[in-house]
Amino acid sequence: MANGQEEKGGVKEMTEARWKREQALVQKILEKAPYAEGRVRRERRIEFKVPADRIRDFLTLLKENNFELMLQITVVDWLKEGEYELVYQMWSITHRTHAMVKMRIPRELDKARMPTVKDIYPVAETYERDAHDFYGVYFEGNEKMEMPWILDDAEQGLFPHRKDFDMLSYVKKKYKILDRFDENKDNYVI
Amino acid sequence: MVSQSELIKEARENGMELLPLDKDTYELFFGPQHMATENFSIILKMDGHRVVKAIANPGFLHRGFEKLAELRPWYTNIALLLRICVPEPDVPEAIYSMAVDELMGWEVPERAQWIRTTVLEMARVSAYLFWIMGLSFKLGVYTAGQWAAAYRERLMALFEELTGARVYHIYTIPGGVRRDIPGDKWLRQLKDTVEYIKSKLPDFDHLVFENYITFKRMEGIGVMDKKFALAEGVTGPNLRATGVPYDVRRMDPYLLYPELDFEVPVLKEGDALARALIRRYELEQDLYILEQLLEMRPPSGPYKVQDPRLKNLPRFKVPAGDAFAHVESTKGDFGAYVVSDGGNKPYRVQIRGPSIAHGIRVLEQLLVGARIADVPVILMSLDNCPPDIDR
Amino acid sequence: MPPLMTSRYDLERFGMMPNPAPRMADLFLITGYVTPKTLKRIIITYEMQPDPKYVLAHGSCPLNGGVYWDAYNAIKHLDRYIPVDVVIAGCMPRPEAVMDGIKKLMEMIENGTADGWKRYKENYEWYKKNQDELFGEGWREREARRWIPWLMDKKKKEE
Repeated sequence: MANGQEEKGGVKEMTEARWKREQALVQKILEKAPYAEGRVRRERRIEFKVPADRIRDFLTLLKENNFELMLQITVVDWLKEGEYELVYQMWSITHRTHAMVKMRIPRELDKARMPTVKDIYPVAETYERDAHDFYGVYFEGNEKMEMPWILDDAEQGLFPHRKDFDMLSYVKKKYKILDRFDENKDNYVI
Repeated sequence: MVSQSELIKEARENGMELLPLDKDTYELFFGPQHMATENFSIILKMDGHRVVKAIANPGFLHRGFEKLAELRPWYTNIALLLRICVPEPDVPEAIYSMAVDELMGWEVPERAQWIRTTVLEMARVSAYLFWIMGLSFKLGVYTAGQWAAAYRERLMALFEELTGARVYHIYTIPGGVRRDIPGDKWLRQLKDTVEYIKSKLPDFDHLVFENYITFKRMEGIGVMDKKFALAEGVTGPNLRATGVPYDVRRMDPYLLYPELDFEVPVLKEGDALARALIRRYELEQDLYILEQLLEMRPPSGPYKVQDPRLKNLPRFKVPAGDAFAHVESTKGDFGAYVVSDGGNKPYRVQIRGPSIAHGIRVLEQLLVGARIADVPVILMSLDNCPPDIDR
Repeated sequence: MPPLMTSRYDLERFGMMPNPAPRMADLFLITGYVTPKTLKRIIITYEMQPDPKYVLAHGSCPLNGGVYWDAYNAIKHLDRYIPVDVVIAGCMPRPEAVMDGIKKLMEMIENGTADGWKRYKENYEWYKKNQDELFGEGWREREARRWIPWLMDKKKKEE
């Protein structure tokens, strides 16, 4: 296990030739979508990268290729690069594969806008409400953006899961407690 | 005698206005202070005793796990993340550990895989017994509920001997498990418990699952068909009750499941009765899996990965990348997506609970037209777990 | 908590029964952490109960925040908002520990030191000040009216 890195590299290249079914699936989808890139990560995990304005066409293409379930829409906040990465996670029951569709949008609150995909996958309405409440991504066409979701009225406009939201000072201000905890402490060795 | 207009005027002066909704309807809070919903609230617009519109109102249990997990080191997160789903405590530990194992590139030893599979199966059986208890209390058959709670206690005693706690076992960690099995006596006790619960299943059938009252109350309400369920992202026993044989243990095998032999029950009708009967069949299959595991006997060897990096846990670093892992829980498809940037704390941990798909949109659409007495039955047949939605 | 009401650690043999209606209840069990959204309902339910009433808090989260000490959505010190008589430590506390806490509460009732309801009446301004600082003034009316615009039909909303 100590020299696991090189051994993993060699073993991985040898078995990548075995993942023919996933390779064929990636090739079939990339033929119809020349604007995207895709690769096979391991058995039953494939990954695509798509530009932000072609997401609806790509998801319609995936739906025609038997990707029936949309599992989640994840937002990853890359503070240093100034971008949000949206990861659409799809699962196909016929092909038994998980596909991650990744795309990047700018991080500023007035520029983080995306078209909705809820007419292709109706469950995306709930996932988009989630992403809006915690990160501030606005999905155009989704009429439940203003509806209260999980956060209470006090935190409604603050988008608390962003990386520049300082949670400890907010908690101290709200609950007027925890004065004995040091704000400069970086690693909590619990 | 006071007239009605005087009463209305007096109410308005004291700030108690009467706001009617649309014609002949009223607003009912099926709120968190209720024995049927567990910390979940539904806002109903009622016409008489029929529901016209329903809005799901989650958020009573939100603690912000995804933000809290970014502030704690990798191994401390196990003690935090397992509090997401209480009836089934081992599942969030297992998915987080599997995702971190994939990021690190470890190969988990076989003894640890056997122990992890056994613990996951025991958690499934105890979660199904908890569900039978909830269903019996809502249907009014209190005897079966008390039996289910008593049999669940035997499993809790076994968990306590193995991991040290009844409910929050901090046991499955990235790289294996924390402690070894306490000897052969524990295995014999587990075998006796499995045989005991199996011998009591006909009693449950007699009282709950083959009872005319259950059929009359649950048949034909809350009907979903296959296309609707797939479009709404429903997974787990709710999806198998509409005819799709999707089980993560078969489609994306993990741990020791490729070597085990079990059936995946599928029904076609898609109503509340089908969902309840599927869970009964799965309980039987889980007991069969536990028997096979006990016959296999745990393989010998280490129960944790031997890695010198594990000597200093607070400074433990994981290489950069991202990984996705999912597991079949009793509610559905429980998944985790972990992103690392090479530091000693995770960069992003996202936990996807299965109830976010069938607790919000599906519930709102299935409740339209139901009677007020059907609302808890539909809720229990979907097996909604509110902490999954709120995280 | 469900194991307490069922056959192994039966509470009914001590004379306690779960009751969903607050108007007929004596004891209020708060099991675990509390979020502000739940705390509003807890305060309304607590004020609906008739005197004398007692509050039992489970776990270490109502005591000082517990595992969620730096979370924005978990109440750290529950005693500032409603009066708590007995706190049972542990995460989760065992059912035997809860029964021990109930026994201690019974002793306190016999001594006359379980006076949460008297404290609430006497110091009502202090409790009300803490509640209003957390939720904002007039939170009861706002909470009751919150969902009405989403339930009405479309054309009435536009009127």
